[in-house]
Amino acid sequence: MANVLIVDDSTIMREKIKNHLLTLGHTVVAEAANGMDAYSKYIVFKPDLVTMDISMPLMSGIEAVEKIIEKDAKAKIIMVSAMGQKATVLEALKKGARHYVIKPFDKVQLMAVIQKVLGDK
Amino acid sequence: MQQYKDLYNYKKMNIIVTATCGFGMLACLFLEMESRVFILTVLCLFISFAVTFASIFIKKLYRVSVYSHPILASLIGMYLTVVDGFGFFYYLYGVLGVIIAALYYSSRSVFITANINVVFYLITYIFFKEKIYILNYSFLTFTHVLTYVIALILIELAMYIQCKDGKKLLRMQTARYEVERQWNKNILDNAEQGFLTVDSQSIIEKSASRQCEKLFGSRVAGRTLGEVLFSDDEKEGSFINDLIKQVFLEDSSRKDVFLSLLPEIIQKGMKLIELKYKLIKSYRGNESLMVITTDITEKTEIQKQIKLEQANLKMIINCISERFEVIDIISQFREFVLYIKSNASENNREFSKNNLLREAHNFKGLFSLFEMHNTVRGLEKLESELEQGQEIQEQKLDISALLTCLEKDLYVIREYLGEGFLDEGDMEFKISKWRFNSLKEQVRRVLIPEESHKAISIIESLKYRSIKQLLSPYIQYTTKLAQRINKPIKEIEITGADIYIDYEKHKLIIMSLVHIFRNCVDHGIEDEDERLELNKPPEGEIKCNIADDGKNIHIIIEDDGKGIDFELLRQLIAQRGLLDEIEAKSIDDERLLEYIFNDGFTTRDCVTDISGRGVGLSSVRERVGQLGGRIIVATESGRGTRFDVQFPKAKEFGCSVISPESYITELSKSAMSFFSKLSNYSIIEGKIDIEDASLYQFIVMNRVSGCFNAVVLFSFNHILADKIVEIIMGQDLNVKELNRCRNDAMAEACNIILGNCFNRDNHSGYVIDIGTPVVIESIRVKSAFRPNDYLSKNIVIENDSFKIIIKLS
Repeated sequence: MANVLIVDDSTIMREKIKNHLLTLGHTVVAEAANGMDAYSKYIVFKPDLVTMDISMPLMSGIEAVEKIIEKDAKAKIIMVSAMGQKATVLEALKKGARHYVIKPFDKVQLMAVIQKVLGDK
Repeated sequence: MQQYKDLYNYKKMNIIVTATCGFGMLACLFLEMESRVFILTVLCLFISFAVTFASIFIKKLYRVSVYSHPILASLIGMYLTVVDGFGFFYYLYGVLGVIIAALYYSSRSVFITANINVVFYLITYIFFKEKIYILNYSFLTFTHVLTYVIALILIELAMYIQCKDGKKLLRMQTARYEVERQWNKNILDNAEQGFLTVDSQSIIEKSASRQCEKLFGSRVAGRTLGEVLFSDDEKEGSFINDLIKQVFLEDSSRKDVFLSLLPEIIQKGMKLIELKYKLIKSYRGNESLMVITTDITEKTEIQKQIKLEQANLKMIINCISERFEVIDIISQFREFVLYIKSNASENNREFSKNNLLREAHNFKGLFSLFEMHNTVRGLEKLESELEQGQEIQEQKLDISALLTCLEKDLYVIREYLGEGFLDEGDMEFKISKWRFNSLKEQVRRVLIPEESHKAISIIESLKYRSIKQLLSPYIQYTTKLAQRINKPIKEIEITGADIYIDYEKHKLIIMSLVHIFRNCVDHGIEDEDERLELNKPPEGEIKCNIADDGKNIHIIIEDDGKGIDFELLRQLIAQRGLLDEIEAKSIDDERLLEYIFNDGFTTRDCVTDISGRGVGLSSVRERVGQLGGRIIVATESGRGTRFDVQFPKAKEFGCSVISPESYITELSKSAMSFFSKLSNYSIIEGKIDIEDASLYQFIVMNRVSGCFNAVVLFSFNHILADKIVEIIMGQDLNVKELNRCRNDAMAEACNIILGNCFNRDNHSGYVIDIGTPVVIESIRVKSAFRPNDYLSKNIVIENDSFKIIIKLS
């Protein structure tokens, strides 16, 4: 099971993802509310997996992905996006994010994506 | 692979022909050392090589074979015409070549070959007109004849080698390929779906089927996919093209992630087109992306209705489970909208577009949690408009549109759940019975089983109310009553666990509790003066405690009043003639207390407006009794009375009233009662045998869904299968009939077993949904279930065995 860093500026969303992850047996090592925070927490906690919201204050998810990948090319980042943000998702994937989920998602969808991402090296 | 062979043979053939011709011409050269001829020969050699490579190139580019030998024959003809005017025979040979090619190859290739031939002929005719028909025998020397003969032999040899090697293969393959291509194209052109392939530059290849043009209303080949799909949205179009290029660039493990970003359904004019994507390898070995397009406009109209209903129901379910959050978010959202409105009009500086965008995005996330789809859509629109850089000032109309979207959702919520649901002042909301039932009905009808099961338990939870809340109006009533008759009491506090009960079911009990409260105030608690005399605190105390002992729910109501006067009770019983005096005196206290619950029994001589009619406690007992409960009274003179109202706990919360384990037990009971119709069968029930999921010859499979999802397998051996046919179809069947009916009979038998499963019990309402049975007959069947995947029961009937297996999914 993986150590996960949850990045989202909405508390409710973080709570929701956290609940899902916990029931799936993962450990949430840290939460971050913006890209800047996410980057510094990634450096500190070295999580196996990051769930990354896209639009956040201070530093967006895309920038955070770029910075994290720059530091650690093997980082496994899952983008958490809203409907209609496909172009941004594409950008994030190009920058090195591994996969994405689209809100609203349920546990099963999240699980599938996480398994896929944890599965590939 | 075949195609490579094709191409290989083709190349080989062409090179051989060219080499031969060149060799022939070189032979001419050595035999005839004239400088004019030398130059022409070299020129011809070059041309012949050029023709060969051009033909290969043409083949590669346009997939049309150009046969170089007839062309070369014409070329040699041209050459010889120039040399000595004897080339006419070579033209004849060229024509022959065309005919030979026509015998072996596809018509289109030959047509092109022949055309090139004619061009050569015409060129020669125009430039060397006078020489064509002149057969100048004086020039016909031995060397000439030798040259022709050598060239002809070599060309024939080349043809022979080519034919021997590749002819058969090539002919067959070409023919098959052609037929297949035509056939496929035919299918593709006439299919409902349109097929097109896109190369790595997102350009649609020529092979796009006709249906695509119909769907998109214009020619598609040669344009980019983005352009075709989003002809009026350049941004989206270039996104698609960008994405497709990226797909081809990524390594294979990641392609899926990118492919999933491509649109699944697009709207094109009035049409809705469904798109499916598949990466394929073309026969030339390079990768292309196949797009399968389907017009789903009609299908969608119906589905849209269902989808909308589903979306609405999901929203309702989400709202039910988190009512206060929903109410909270709605009011926050309203404030947000008002805030934008007022600030936008005042042209406030600090009110930045990015803030607005982020807020809108957050709200979108929140609303999509509750699946309030209309509002989400409205916010999405606002978001994309903001992203496109529109100014807030121009947004005034759209801001109000947001509220309209919200209202749409709220309208749906009110429609389903009634007005009270969104009223934040009410802790509880009431839903009418028909609304409740119709909601449940709709959920069952519209949602898929997995979802409806969950949804129904959420809806069911609406029926459950907290006892504390249910009791609170009675508490208020009791306090008021006490004040009215001048018996001040302390505030009544409800202690203990807050238990949720099915309100409909327990309504009457809860309502009847008012009698106990009234009794406590009226009969239990003394007047203030009396209490002071007895050294009790002036204020009476009524306590109410709720407890759950695992089996029963207890509502305990006690007062610290005077208690029940047994002597008075004995007197009254004797007075009323319920017992004679001796009996009344000898009766023990416990039995004596029973009488207070008797209909019409009252300790009062006169009826007041509060109590005294004697119906109160009897009605409590009756109602509690109806649900299998009882009331235990404990009393101590001068210290008070304690009523312990008990009633059994409801079964499990929600509709999960059955587990797979109990289901398989029920099923085997049902199966046994079915088999008991077989006379003189003694039935021994097997144990649950976890290790064994082996199967007999006949298997009937059926899907069940609801409380749990599983596949039920019934497995019979041959003899039992025949017996079942007898039960269902009647006896005296011959073998042929028996075989014919067997499958149907077994399916029917299993339907009966599955269907009768719950008749014996009162499993009311929705429990489990049964699919259509599938019968499988096989001599060697093995199940590959892991031990904890399934439950099984073996039923042995004399020598026959029957097995029920539930494979949990």
